[in-house]
Amino acid sequence: MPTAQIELQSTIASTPRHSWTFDWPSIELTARELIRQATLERCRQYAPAQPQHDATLSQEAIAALAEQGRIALPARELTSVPDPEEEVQFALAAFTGRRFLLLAGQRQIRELDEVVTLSPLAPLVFIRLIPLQGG
Amino acid sequence: MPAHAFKLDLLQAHWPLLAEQLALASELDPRYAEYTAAHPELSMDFRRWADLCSEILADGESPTLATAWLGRIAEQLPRSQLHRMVHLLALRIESFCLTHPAFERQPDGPRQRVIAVETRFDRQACLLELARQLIGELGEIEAAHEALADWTLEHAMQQMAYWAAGLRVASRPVNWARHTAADTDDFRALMGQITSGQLSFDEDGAWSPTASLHALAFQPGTATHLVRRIRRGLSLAVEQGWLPCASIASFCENHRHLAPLELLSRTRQDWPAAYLPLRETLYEGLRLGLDTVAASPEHSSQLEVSLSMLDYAEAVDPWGSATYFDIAGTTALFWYADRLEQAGDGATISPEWRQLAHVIALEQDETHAVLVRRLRNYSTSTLLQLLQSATWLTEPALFDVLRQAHLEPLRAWVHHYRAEHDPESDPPFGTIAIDEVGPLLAALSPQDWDWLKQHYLPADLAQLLAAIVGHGAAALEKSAMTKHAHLPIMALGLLPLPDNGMRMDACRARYLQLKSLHDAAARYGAQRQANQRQAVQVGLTNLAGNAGFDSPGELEWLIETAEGEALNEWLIGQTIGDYHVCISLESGQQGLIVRNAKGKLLAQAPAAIKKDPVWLAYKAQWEQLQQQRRRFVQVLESHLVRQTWLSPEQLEQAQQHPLAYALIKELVWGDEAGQYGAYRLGLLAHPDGFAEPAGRVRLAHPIEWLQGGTLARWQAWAIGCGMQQPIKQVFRELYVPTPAEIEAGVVSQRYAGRWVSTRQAQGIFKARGWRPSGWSEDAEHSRRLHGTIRAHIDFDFHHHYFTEVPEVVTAGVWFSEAGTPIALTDVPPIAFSEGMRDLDLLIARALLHGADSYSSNESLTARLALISAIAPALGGERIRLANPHVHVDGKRANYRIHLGSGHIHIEPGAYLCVIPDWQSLPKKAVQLPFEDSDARTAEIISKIVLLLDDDQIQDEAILEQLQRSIAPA
Repeated sequence: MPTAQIELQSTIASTPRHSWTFDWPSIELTARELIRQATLERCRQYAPAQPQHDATLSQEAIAALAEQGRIALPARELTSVPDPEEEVQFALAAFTGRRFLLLAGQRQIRELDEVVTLSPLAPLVFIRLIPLQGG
Repeated sequence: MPAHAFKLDLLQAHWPLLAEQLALASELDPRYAEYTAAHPELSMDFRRWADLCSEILADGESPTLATAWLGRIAEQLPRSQLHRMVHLLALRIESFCLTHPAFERQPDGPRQRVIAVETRFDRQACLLELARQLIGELGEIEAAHEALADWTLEHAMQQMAYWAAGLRVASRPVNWARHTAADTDDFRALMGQITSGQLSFDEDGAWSPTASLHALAFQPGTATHLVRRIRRGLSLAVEQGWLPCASIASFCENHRHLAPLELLSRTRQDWPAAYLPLRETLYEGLRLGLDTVAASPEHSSQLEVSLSMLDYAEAVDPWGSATYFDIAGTTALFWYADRLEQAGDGATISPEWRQLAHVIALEQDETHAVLVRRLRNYSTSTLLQLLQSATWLTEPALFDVLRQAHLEPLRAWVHHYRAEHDPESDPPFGTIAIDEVGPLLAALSPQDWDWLKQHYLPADLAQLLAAIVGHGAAALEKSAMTKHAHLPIMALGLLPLPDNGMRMDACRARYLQLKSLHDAAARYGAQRQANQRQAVQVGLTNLAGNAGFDSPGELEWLIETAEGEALNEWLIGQTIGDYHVCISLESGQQGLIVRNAKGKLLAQAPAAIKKDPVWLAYKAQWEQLQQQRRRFVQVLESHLVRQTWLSPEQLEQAQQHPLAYALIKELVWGDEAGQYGAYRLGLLAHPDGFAEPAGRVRLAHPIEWLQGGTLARWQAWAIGCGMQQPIKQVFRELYVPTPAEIEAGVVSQRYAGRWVSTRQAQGIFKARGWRPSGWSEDAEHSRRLHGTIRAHIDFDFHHHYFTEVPEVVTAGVWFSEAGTPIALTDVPPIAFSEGMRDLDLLIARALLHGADSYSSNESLTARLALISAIAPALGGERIRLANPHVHVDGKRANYRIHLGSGHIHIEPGAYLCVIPDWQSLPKKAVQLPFEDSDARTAEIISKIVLLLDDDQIQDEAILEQLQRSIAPA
């Protein structure tokens, strides 16, 4: 399978938050496949993080946290390991239901079948949307 | 002399100086220039002056500005003139403002008030308005400013002189009471003029201690403020010996409503000898007042004013609550007794007689024997009436005369109990130490009980004491269990326990009753729930004392763990037909276990045994065990927060209980020698081995490790040995004061300014033992953490009850000890950490949709950066950012969205109401690496996306608004 190793960073609002280097099937792929791969990677990131057997605070971390007045372990992001395939379907449905935006550089991806070209110059951004109603 | 003699022209003459100092203090002219440059769109000059004026006043720095202004005036004028000038300003600023066209009088109800008309504003009007508003601040800043403090005293005296002479002068109020303690010569002179009936004013119309140009007669008004001030002044005159006794006495005879009756709360020996005749005059005046009211009740309001300045006590007695006035000596008591005697049975006597029969101090010659001798002259019915308003000073003599002297020890106990216990005290009312009062009650005869209930004991205390000796036990139990009446709930723990082998069983039954009442409280609203649970807690404390335990925690532990041995038979199990059932507590296999004849584990109970009584018993037992586990965890959690000590025997007993042992072995305990360790078979297991516990043990609170620098080590160890803690202990979130909090002193702003859902907040408050406190319009909540230490949180709230609005904004957090706020650094570390932990939980759970502060600068900057980065992809030139708005060109209209609030306006101005529809947002999150954005940012981006394609909108509520706003164009 042809692969392309591209490091993608979403650096828009603040510091780099999401940096994933992994093997994409191709540098050109449909939005459907892109969402699938991103969701699967996200699920893979969770898997080893559960359960947090090694989670303790170091002496330095304790001192730093005490400055802020609260000493506690960072919150767990998930309580159970997600089922990857279920998550993919859920994410695809959310995309069609306009529950989030997918931007590639200066371009907004609107259809699942649209082809996206991966490039470090055109960062991928996922943005949550909130359902609105008239008041 | 005209009433408004205080000359305006004097103010007129000095105004340029006052105004220029005000302009300099407020930097008026540079600010005007700056404002003009910043707002070129304001073409009218009056608008600039008016806006600038409101801006200066709205800065919240008025007290600072007023102080700065007066400081500047003080540099320009000699001290005597400074007082004069500020006083003049305070008295006449409104009249002076009216000389400028920008001010006019307008009717305001029955009165008129001066208002400022903005369209006529200029620099002068701006200064006048500033002066007018700042003078109002004087009352606030007087204490902080030395020069002002003595000015305000003078001002207070001027006011009093005007009022005393019957002149009504508009004047800014000052805190008069704060200034009348000073024994200045002027004040003494003023009181002298008032009592002699002549007040002197100088040529400017100001009161003067010496001038005699204008003399006005003293006008004995009845306005409360005047009455209070003159009485206070007379009291001072007596204390300081300023004026001859005879002149004060004759003044009081002529003006009875001004007589300082409050001096009667001092005993004879506390009076200056020369003034003792005045004391008799005051008593005589009081008696005459009472007689007048008795003869013609229409005069009662005058007496009420006279009495209202007496110190008083609210007392709750068997006949309801009543107000008593504090009077020294028994003079008024015997007046009352004489009236009762004359009136005979059934006659009504005006209540003031009784209110004054409340003796707070005895004269030297009023010994017990003297009182008894005098009281013997009265009938029993009179004596019983006197008992109703008796104090601790008169009660013993009354008991003696009523032939109840043998009840004296109990009377003394009751008296102390009532003085020391109320629902807010610690321990609260209802908590009774049976070992103290039990022997006193045991000695009572049935006649004694009847007499006490009928004549002495308040109904609630009578019920509690009766429970101790077992009177009416059945009715009491019924009332507690079926009606959930709070007093009977408290009394449940006081009911006698059998002295035989059944004692522990009876104690356990009571304990379970109280626990069920604790659970049953869940059905009620917050206040009743908290009250019922407090009653249960009192009941448990009483029960613990009754059964001989030091604390309710010990009782809970012992009762709950003593059930351990009985558990074994359930663990071994039983055979039902072809099946074998048992309860398993093994980790990973907890629950009811059913095996078939071949020993195979069944997933669920087969139909064949489902109705078998044995199976049903096992099922019920399992449910009970689950409840018990929850109670154990509750006990342990409260032991951790309250740092309850347990004896080694208690832990050993718990070790016999499979459920309890499973819990305690996963927790770290600390002993009296400062050793820590997980409790394993009687030893404390710690990172370096094992230790024998020394003395009592308690659950270690990790804040101690934080302070000792060993927290990381304990955490690593807990992970290493795979501890699975039933309550968060080693990894408990810890909270310590931050540098900002240490600097702030008493109030922490750590959790302030967050929008929280009241419904969720209320749930968390209930679960964590917080209760609403304060008045109806106050949403303060507090929790008792340790001893008398409480944590408090306030809300920015102006409603009637907490859940009246769906969301509120949090305000400051503070701690109190015995009701007094204490510095955050003085809060015991465990109490601080636990209080803040509850509130952190509150913020985490009840915070609205993860929204952080409404629009902090930081989040606004991040929002702006994100939106500007994605704007080209979303809509290109159709989206333009102009802080604080983002402009969106739609297909039907153009819009602007506020970046802070998210509000939308259809250009040029109509408001378009679009709100998040949280209901239709799925609970489940999409697993994608989303850009980090707060809820408000997501809302604004969603609105941009919606408005870009406004021709696609289907929501009717939005469409209707659009049509309404766009159609006219």
